[in-house]
Amino acid sequence: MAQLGSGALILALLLAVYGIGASFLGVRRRVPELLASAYRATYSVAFLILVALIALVISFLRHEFRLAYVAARSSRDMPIQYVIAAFYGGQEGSLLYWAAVASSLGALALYLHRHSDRALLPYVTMTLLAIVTFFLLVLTIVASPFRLLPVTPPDGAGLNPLLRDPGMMAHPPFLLAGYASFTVPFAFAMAALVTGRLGSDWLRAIRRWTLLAWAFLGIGLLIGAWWAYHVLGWGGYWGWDPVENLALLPWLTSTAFLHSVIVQERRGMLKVWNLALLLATFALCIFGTFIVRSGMLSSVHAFAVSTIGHWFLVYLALVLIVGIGLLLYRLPGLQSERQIESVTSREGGFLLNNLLLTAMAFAVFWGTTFPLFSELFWGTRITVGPPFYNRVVGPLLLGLLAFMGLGPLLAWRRTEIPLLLRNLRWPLVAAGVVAGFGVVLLDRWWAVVAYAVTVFAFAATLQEYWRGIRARRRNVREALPVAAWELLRRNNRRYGGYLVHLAMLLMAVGIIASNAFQLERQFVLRPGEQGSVGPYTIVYRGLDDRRTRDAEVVAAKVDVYRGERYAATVESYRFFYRNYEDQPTARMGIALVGLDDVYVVLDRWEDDDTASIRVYVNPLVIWIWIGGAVFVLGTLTLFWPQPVPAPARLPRTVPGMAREA
Amino acid sequence: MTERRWRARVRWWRVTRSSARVSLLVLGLVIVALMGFSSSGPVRAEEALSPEALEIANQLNCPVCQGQSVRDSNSELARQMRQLIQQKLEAGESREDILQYFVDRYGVSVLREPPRQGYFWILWWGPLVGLVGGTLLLVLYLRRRDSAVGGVEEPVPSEELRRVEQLLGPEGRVR
Repeated sequence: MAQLGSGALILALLLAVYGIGASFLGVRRRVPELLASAYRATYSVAFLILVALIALVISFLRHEFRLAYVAARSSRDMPIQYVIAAFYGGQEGSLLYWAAVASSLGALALYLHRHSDRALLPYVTMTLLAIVTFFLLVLTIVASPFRLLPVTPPDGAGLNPLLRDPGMMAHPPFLLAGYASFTVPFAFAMAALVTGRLGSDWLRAIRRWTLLAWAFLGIGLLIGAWWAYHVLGWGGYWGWDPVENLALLPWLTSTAFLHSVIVQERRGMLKVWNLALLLATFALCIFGTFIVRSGMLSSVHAFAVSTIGHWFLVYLALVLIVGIGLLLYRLPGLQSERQIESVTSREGGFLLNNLLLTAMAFAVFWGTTFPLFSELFWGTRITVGPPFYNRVVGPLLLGLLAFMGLGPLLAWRRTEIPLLLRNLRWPLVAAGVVAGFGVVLLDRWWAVVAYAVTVFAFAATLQEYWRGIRARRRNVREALPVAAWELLRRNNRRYGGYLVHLAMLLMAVGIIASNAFQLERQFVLRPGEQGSVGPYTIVYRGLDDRRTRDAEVVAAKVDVYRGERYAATVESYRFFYRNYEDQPTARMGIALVGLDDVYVVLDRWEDDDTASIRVYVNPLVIWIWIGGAVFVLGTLTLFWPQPVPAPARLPRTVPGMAREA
Repeated sequence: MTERRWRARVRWWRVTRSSARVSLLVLGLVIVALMGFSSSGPVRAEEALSPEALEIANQLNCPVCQGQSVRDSNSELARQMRQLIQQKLEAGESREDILQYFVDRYGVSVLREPPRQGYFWILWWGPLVGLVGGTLLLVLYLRRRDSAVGGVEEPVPSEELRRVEQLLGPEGRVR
């Protein structure tokens, strides 16, 4: 298997280099045969990388501990799902996975666009293969997953215990797939810059691929939050950890892109800005992939140790130089076709949305990288923790939520102010009512403001749906549910987008509540004793020792009462995995009582079963996960195939193309 | 003992009310849920740490774990630090004294939030500068648009249109 895998990788590397050369020569000398062979080389590269990936997974399944990578990350007693998941549990495997996703999606894109965007394809191929070549170089020279040990150990060390969790089976693949799939829009962007063809077909293609990558990344982040909530035991789901932040950055910039690209599609403006956003997104993806690998930010000194860091740094510099260079070169050809007419227009709204999103990304980037500069210039190690981000990102997020409500009410080109005010009436009333109740009932002013804004945006979005449904019912005479369904199906980009907005607002409800009204208490209890936190009483029932195939488990059983009424029994676990006894992991006991999460952490215990237990009451966190489900559904509706009437599109594309020709 | 218990009950009341408020707000229901909190059985809700100690612990990074605060970490060092904070509070030291004590021992990186002094201001002002800069760029962009000739579109000559359509030929045809 090792020979098969490394052979496939080397062959893929050679073919990728050949493909770059063939597409370059093919497009220069206008030899269609060479181009066709370059495309076939791309398909073969994707196939060979998949072969290598499958070889690695089979090596894991067959416990081939001769492979250093397999021996370091799996063992015979691990359950089979974690043996499979172990292949992305380390640097080499996750880079191989990255390359596999990038090359397969790239090949798929090449296949799907083989008729429509012929002029772009040679350059798409070149960019794609250049990126894949870099990863293949790293995979064959610096970090080969198929390196053999001199002797075969009888058993492996086992997977890092933190990864042995259902959440971790899904979180890294989604996140890495998100990073990797930005390769496709980036390749299209580069191709468009080289050829100067930035028509609306290109735009439609690139938007879909960006949407796919954005969805992967978003789902990855969401699962990561869920995992942190269940495993890490600090009562939260987002810790502003450098690695998390770096995954959030490309998501923020691509969210900005997905919004501002609408302006380009409708009005032919913001071309340079959109390309810059795409470039930044891809650069941030590389940055994120490489920072996670190098461990540079969590501990700055690890940078020197890691050999892979330099490779990525050079590569990142290359991507940025080529990207910015091409953008500057094409700058004269990227003039807007139309001009913005009024600030109170949909275009203006999108501009402000972009300002807020990029400001947020900038703030997060600033906070995340500042420790690096601090160490570099002043020799002081510092930590930038959650307080900084909450203070800086919180207000921006609030502004963004407000715009989520206001933006859809603005009309393209210019908005009639009286009409806008009339449309704002009900959302403002709803916000006012909530603010009134909030002032009376809540003692945190910022939470009152945040809830008022959330409800305002929620009401505005629902009003948009309602108006759409009413219009359909007037015109087509459909029943209410049919009208709602047809509205979403026929205009999925708009109303699916609103669905994603609603998902974000639902999450905001949970995020605000859990930040403002979390309760925490710590108890030292003997079995049978109880403690109270908020309206809840917990009764500690004692410890239970268990064994699973690969771990020893200590479970603390806790009954939860709300007032006098029994609500639930939860168990909070500690796992001690073989070979990793010094790194116990945990799974929290979480009981959903009403709308509160009662979150029980087992901290430590003594031989007489006296346990130190921490209990958090996290109100409304359930809404974050409900919002997450709505997010996934909303995103799916965005991929709904849409039959677009073709004749209507052609005339619109012509003015833009005429100028570029 | 009685006094402590009484204090605990007052706290209990307070938290009960604020947490109830949240659910009330969302449900829009008014439930009087604050009845009968007589507890049965032996209570040993011995809270090792006062709220202030917890708050201080939340401002400190656990030096041996990645990205967790002293409050949230369950490492032995963090536990000792929590206890030390509590002892120092009981000895009458102020929050600043306690934080300074840990900074002296572990360096500035022990603080979760860098102090607002010296070059750390760069960190704090950075995002604001970014936002203001972005806003300025946006305003400039809009200004330039305003001063340019209004949004009138030049009509494309029909022969030009035909030429372009010819040029685009087979490739330009949309799928």
